[in-house]
Amino acid sequence: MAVFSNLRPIFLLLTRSLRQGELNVLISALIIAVATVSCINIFTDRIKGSIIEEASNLLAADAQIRGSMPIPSEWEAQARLYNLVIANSINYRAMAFSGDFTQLANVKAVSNRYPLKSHLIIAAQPYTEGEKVTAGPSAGKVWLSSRLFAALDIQVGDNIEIGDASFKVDAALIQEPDNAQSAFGFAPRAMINIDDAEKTGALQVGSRVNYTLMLKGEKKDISNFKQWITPKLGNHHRWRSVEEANRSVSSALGKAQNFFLLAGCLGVVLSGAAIALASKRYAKQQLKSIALLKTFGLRPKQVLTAFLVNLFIIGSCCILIGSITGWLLHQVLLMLLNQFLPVHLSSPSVSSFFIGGISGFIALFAFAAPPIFALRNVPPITILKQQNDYVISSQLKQVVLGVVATVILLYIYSQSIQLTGIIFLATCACIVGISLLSRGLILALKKSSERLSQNWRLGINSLHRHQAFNSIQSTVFAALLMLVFILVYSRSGLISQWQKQLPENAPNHFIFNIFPDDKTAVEKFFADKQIHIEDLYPMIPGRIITVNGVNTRTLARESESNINYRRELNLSWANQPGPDNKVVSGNWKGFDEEKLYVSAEQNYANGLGIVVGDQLRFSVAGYEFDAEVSSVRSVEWDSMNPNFYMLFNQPFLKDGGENWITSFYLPEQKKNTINLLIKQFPHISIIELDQTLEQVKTIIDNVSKAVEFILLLVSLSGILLLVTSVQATLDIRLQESAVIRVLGGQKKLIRSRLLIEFFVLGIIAGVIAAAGAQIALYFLAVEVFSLPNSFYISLWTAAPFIGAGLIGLVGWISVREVLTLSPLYVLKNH
Amino acid sequence: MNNTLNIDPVNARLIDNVNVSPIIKAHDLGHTVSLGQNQLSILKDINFEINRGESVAILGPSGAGKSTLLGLLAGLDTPSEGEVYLGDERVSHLDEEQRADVRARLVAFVFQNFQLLPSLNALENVMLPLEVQNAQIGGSKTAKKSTVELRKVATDYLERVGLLDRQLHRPNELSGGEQQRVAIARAFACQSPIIFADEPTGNLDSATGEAISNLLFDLNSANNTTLVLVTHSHALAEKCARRVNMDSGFISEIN
Repeated sequence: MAVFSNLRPIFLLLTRSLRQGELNVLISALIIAVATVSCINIFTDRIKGSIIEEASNLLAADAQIRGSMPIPSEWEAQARLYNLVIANSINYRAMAFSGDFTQLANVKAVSNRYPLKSHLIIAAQPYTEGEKVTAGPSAGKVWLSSRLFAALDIQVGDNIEIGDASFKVDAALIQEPDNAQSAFGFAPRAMINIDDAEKTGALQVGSRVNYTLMLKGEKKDISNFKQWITPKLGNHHRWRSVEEANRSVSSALGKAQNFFLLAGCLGVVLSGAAIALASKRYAKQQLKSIALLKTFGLRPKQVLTAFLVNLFIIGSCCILIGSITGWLLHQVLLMLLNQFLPVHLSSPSVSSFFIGGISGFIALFAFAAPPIFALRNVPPITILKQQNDYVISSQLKQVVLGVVATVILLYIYSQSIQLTGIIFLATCACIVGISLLSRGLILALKKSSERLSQNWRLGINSLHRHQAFNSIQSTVFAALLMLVFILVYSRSGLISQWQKQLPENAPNHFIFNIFPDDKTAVEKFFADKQIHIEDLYPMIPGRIITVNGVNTRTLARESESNINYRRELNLSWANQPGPDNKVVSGNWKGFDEEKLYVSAEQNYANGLGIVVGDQLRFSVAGYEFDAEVSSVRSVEWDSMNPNFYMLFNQPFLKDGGENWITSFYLPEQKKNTINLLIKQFPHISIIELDQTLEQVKTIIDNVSKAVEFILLLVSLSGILLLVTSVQATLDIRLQESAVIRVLGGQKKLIRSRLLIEFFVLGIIAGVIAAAGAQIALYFLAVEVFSLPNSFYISLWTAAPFIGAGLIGLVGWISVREVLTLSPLYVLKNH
Repeated sequence: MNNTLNIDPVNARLIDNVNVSPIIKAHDLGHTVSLGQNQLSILKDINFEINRGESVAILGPSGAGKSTLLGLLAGLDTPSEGEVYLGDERVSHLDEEQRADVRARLVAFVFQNFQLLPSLNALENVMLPLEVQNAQIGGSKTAKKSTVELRKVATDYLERVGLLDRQLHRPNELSGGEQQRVAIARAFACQSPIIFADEPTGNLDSATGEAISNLLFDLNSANNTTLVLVTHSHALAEKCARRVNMDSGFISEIN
């Protein structure tokens, strides 16, 4: 305690500084930085935690065998011999309808022992918390996910039809263990008893069905059974363990977490810059006090220790408040995204607060400490000098420390040296570019200000005089506005632009699972209704096993493509490729060829290195066959016609087994046709693209809201940086204004000078932001979405006003005391 | 020019027959500062000795080097050449940590701009150097005191300067004269043997300045401290036992 009593004089100064608000900006910046990072980290940690917590439950079993073919009964018998408990489920899509309402549902038919692990949660009302149950619905009953209740306009107790079968709606299915990603899926869940699966009429040869055998037992029994079954799995069944099931979700969440944390990093760095400026100002204010204390005999070491202890105490308090604020803010994020998240989230881990705390201390000691710690070197002789010209700490040293801290934070958030390097260099290039541009604009304005009125000339001269700080302000705000504009315009602009791109009367519905026996009847149905349908294509699920004898799995592992080569493909055949297909290499071979040829889609082929002449081996329903690649095609996927990665020149299965697919345009007023179609062909699956687009828009809207929320937090840091950088020029502004007023200048003149300076600065930031956003949107549209470039006139008109309004307001509030303080007071005290 | 101030032993004895040993010594003192690539000599060949209890005024026009000399004598800065002794300590050759210790034991200040901390009230301002002294473990001239004891010392000196009833007022609630009284109370409350005063009446009107100088000299003689003051005012300088005139970094006259 002796140490603390020795530091009492500086504690006294600090408590008074706190009381007088001299540390407000520093404290606010630190709290915002910690809150931003904590909010993001707690949010992602809880979701990740929920999934990891239920890792063993993700499969509703200890292991699963999944496949597109029914599970052989021999395997089930063998599993029992290995002392394993088993359960079955069948997943497929079928139309659910009630009255005039229809909806494609993701049907899951479960056996009585399902789930083997964990539990289901059902409720009497959709979107409520519900209660745990350990078995699925009994025969004749269906449990529906909450979304289906609204889509079908039904309540618990009503009857609905799924395919050919009728079911009583027994409960709302709130959560199922082996469906972690269901929230993001398009087709909502309908869970029925496995005994009812056949009755729906949707389980026919060629239907896209997934069969699952769930296994539970001792680890060694599972392991022994795995050894027995692995050689028998073939190409249509896969063994899934807990680790595998968890990997993809964890990886996706990890990426999302990194993205959000990198956005948070921007907030921390902006706050760090605000902290650096605020602490420099604070140190400057304390300079005479420390020099005075030194004349009393205070030692440099005592100064250092006192500020170290003080900063630690302040930092700890700010981190505590920031963490609590982060917790509250993460609740807002949960609210924004609640419809996509699991109902039950795990508690946040202590470590999720840790990154926020670490970020806070790094920001504090890298950005705030240098000028404050440098106070120990203030020579006591300073007290005798009239001019306050002592330079507290080297600017270069401070910048270097800030850069090192930024790199460390980037690495902590991205966990990747490469990403850290790329982001750091790109950010530096942006800062330098925007800064040079803003300086150039300020200079150009100054040169052209000769013809303007006196007030404007004074304002622009002042802008030029403070250009070092002004370019920081315009850089920060231009960058922030740019991010907001990119987000807003890519959300609203690009989607509507894509919709406009679609040709008029482009197909807006897909129907598939059309069985060969129904093909003619379906065509007649549409002909009777005078609705044009595109060509019908056969479709059979299958896999490519080898390319020129090399296993596809090996090739897929080496591939840099983001296409999932592990999934089954829909294989088809035609005499001619569709009009939206273009052969880019090789030649198309039609029905007249005796040999079986296949044409590969360009991107799919490139990913596996497939070229014309290659020999591909396919596996379809256990039957293997070879085909030579005759051509490679480019495909216009957004034509809304059925298209395929692999298109053969003739049928490859002698005994059929295919189902058919087509697409058609249905105007809104003929929507009822779907109900008639479903009634007549209940096993047919329909994808209503107009609804799908709505769902995509809803998802993008909600995710954008979350990103905007993070950006809002980052913007708060930016506003604080603006305030501190304006305050850094406050003393000189006070002196200039005091001299002008003493010389007879009116308040009005000073007011208009300041307003013009900030408004012009805001316009510059707005124009730079608009230019940056326009360039980014160009690349997004042309390079990413393959859309024509648009010139966003609203962006160019709104941006300067938004910039001027925002910077003008914040700038004006920050320096308004220039007008309120008396010139005499200013000249005596500053 | 001989810049050595020779202490008149008779005069010194008149001040204090007991303490005739010098408490401040400056030998061949010189100070140079860098202005870009140029070196500017501020003080040259200063030789100085001041006995305990003596009062000495340093006079001279602006830029003569008075304040620089005061800073060097008080151990606030280190000279470019020569030596400074405060008591037995060769402060010119000590590092900042050691000089801070010496200042805590031997020196107190009164400044032209009062240098009161605006966030603290009068009492806290007076207590501040006492707290610093109290914080120096070992080497302190007084044993460690409790906050209550420090407060007692501070209120005692505020009473001596007639500001007991204003002890809870902040500097901005006090007049210039009152602020300087608080600064004087702060300097004497330290009970340091040497008081350095830099233009103590420079910011005050003549009547207030007169009152302040009287207070300063009264307390100085009551406490038997050594007073070194820098001033433009000949009237104030006349109150000192001796006067040192400076010009362009040299001592031009001693009387």
